[in-house]
Amino acid sequence: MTMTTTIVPEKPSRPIRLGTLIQKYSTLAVLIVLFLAFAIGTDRFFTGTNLVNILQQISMLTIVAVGLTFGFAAKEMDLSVGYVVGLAGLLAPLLMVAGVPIPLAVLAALGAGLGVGLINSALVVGVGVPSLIATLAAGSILWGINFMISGGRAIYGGIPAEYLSIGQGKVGGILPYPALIMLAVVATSWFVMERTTFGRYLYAVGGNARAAELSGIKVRSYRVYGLALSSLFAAISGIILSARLGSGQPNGGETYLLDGLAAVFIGMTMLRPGTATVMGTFFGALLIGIMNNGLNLVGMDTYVQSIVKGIIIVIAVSVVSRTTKLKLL
Amino acid sequence: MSIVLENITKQWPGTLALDGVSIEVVEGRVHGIVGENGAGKTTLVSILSGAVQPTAGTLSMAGQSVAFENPAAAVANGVSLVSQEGSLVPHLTGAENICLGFEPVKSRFFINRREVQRQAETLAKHWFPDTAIELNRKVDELAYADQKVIEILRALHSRPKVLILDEPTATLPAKEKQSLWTLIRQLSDAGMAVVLISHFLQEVIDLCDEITVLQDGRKVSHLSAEHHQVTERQLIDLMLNRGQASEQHRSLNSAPTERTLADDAEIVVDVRSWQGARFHMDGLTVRSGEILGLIGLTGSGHFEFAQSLFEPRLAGEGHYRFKGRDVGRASVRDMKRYGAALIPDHRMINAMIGDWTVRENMSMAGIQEASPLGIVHAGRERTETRRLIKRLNIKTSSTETKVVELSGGNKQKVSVAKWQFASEGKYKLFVFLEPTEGVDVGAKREIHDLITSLAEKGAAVIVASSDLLEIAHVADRVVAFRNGRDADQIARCDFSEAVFINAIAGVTQ
Repeated sequence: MTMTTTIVPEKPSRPIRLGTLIQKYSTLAVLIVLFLAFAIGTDRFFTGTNLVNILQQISMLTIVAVGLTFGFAAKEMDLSVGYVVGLAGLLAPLLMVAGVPIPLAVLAALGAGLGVGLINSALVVGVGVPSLIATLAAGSILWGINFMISGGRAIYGGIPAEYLSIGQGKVGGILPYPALIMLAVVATSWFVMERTTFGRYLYAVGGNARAAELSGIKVRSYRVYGLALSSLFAAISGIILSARLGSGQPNGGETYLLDGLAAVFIGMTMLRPGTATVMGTFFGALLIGIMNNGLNLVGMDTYVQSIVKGIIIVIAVSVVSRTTKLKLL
Repeated sequence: MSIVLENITKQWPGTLALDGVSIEVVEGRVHGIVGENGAGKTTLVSILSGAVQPTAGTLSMAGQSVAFENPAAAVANGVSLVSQEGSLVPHLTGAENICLGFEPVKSRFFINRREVQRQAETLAKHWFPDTAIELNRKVDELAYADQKVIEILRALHSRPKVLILDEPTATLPAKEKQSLWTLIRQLSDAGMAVVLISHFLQEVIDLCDEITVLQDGRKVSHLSAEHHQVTERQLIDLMLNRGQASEQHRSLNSAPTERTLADDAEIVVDVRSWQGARFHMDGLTVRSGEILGLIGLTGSGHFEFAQSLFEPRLAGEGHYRFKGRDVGRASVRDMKRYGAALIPDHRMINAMIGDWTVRENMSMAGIQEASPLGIVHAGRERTETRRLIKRLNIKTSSTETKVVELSGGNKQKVSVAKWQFASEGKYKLFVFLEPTEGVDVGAKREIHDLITSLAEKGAAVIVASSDLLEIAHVADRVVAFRNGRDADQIARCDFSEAVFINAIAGVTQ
C-alpha cells in the first residue's frame, strides 16, 4: 500500500461559487425581507403577541410538513396527509363524546393515523403502486370515511376541557401548547434525521436505493418508515386541530396537504438544495405563516393570498429543478 | 454515400471513452464494430447517431464536414439508428411506430391514418416480403422478433443512407436471426452503408465486409474481408490482448510470483452446483488469503456468479456455504453480517450517492459501528473518514467534498473504503466487479495493491474483470467461464494471455 500523505484541509479550497450562495440563501433572504417589510409596513406585525400568534398558526402545518419530510427523504410522496389530519381530528372527539377516556381516544386517533400509513406503505412497498397514486387514492377514501363517520357534521359538545387545553392552553400564559408541541416535534425530528443512523439510512434510501441496498440497508423497511411517520405526524396535527377548534370537522385538514407540500418544496431550496430537510421544512412553514399573517394584517383577501402562495411554490420548485435532478415519482 | 469519422475522442468526466478513433463506413458495405464492454462501442454509436457530441475529431459525409447536434439532425442527414432495445412506443401500433415523427397529414393537422398504414405496409413488403407482421397491433402485444422488425422498418422509413444496428440479434430466436442476416445483406446490396455492433463474433465475421476492433477506447485493428480471413479466435485475441498495447504487463512477462497460501487457511466460500438464471457453477472453494480471478466474454455468467456470492438470492439453486454456514437463502444484510462485502461495477449506480459527501458515502455501510445507541458520533465519523482518506491515498479537498467531484479512481477507492469504515478486519470476503472500470493507470495500480493487501490480511478476494492483465496481475488462480459455466481453472504458474484467451474462447491447445 502506498503511504503518501494527502493533505486534507478543513475547508474546501476552491472558492464558493456565487450562484450556489445565492441559491442556498435566497429563500432565507426572502423570509427576512418579508419579515422586515411587514414589521415596518404595519404596526401590529412586530409585536410579541403577534409573533407568538404566528408560531401558534403554523404549528399544525409544520407538524404535517415535517411528517411529509420523512416521506420525501425516502423519495415517497404522501398525498393523504390532509385527510389523515381530518380523520384523527374526528376520531378523538367522536370517541370522547361516546365516553372513551382522553388517553385512549388520543391513542386511537394516533393509531388510526399510523394504520393509514401502514396501509399506504403496504400498497407502495408490498404491491408496488407509486406512492403518489396510492396516497392519492387513500386520500379519496379517507375523505369519504371522514364524512361517513361524522355524518357530515361537526362533532362537538362533551369534549373534555383537558383535551381542549392541548390546543388552547398556554405555558405560563404566553407560549401556546401547539407551538410548544411543534417546537418539540421539530427538534426531535431534526435530531433523528441529522444525528442518527435512522435518518442517515432514510436519506440513503431516497438518494440511491440500489446503493443503499448493497450497503446492507433495509430499503423496504425504510420506505415503510417514511410513509408511516408521515401519516402519524398528520394524526398528531389532527388532534391539535380538533382541540384548538373545540370540535371535529369532517373536512378539517384539507388545506394542510398543499401548504405542507409548499413548505417542503420551499425547504428543499435551502440548506441541502434538492433534499428535504427538517430545518428547511420548518423555515418553509415559517415563510408561509409569516406571509399569511402579514397579508392578513395588510388586509389582503384570502384568494389573493392563495395566488401569492401558488406563485411562491412555482418559484421554489423552479429554483430546485434548475439546479438539481428533482425527481418525485 | 460514405461517412468518415476522423480522430474521434470523447472525454467523460474521469474517463476517456474514445481516444482518437477513425473509421470509415462505405456505401454498399457492412462495417462491424466489436470490442468488450467498455471498449467504446456505445459511445461511438451515440456519436454517429447524434446522441453524444465528441470532445474532439470530425465527422464528414461525402467529403462534407458535418456535425450532428442531436439525433434528429443525424436522421435528417441520412443516418438512422436501430438501438439495442426500447425505442418503440408500446401503446402505438406497428404502423404508427414506423411513421412516428414523420406522419403523413391531411388538412394540415390530422394524421392520415390510411396513408400511415399504406406507407408501413409498403416498407414491410419491400424489405420483409416473407414475414407477416400485424402492423395494426399495438407493439407491446407483438413478439420480440416482430418488434425488432418494426424498429428496423422505422429506421428505414426515413430512407437512410447509413443504418446503424446496435446488437440487433441479441434477443432474437435463431430463425429470426437468419431473416435479419438476409435483410442486412439486402440493405448493403441496395447501396446502404451498414454499421453492425454485435457480441456474436461469428455473425460479424459472416456478414461484415470490414471489421473495426476497439479496446479501451482505441481502435486496435481494422480488417477487411478482401485481405483477411479472420477466425472467431483471432477476433477474441484482438479484443482482449493487451500485451502489445500496454507497458504495464510486467506480471505477464516476468515470472509470476507464487504467493504461498497456508494449508490450513480457512475455507470462506464453498459452492456446489450453484446456479442462477445465467450461470452454473459446479463447484468451487476459495480460502482466506486467496485472490480468485474470474474471466469470460461478456454474458458468459462470471459477473452474475460473483455477484451471487454477495446476493445469494440472485442464484436460488444449489449449495453455498460461507465460512461453514449455509447461506443459500441469505439476504444481502445477512451476508454483510456474516462478513461479505461487494465492490460493484457501475459505481455511481450501485455504490454511491453522487451528491453526498465523501464522508457520508464512506460511512454508508459501517456508520452503525460509530454510532452508539443509533446516534451518529460525528467526531468519530470524521476521524475515521480522515484515516481512510489518508490510508487509501484518496485525492479529495476535504471529507465534505461531494463524491461526484472526485475522479474515477478516487471514487473507486471510496467504494472500497466503505467496507473498512470502522470495520477493519470484519469482512472475510471481498467481491470486486470490474474494479478499475474508468480508472486511470496510476490509481489502477493502487487499487491492485489494495486488493492484494486485503488478501494478505486474511480475506478471501474474488475479482471479476474483463481486463485480463489486471486478473493476471492480482489473481492467484483463475476460473474461466464459457456460456454460463465454469469451464477452466488456471493456476498462477500457467498464467499467460494466450492461456486466458484460449480458456475464454474454448480453444484447447
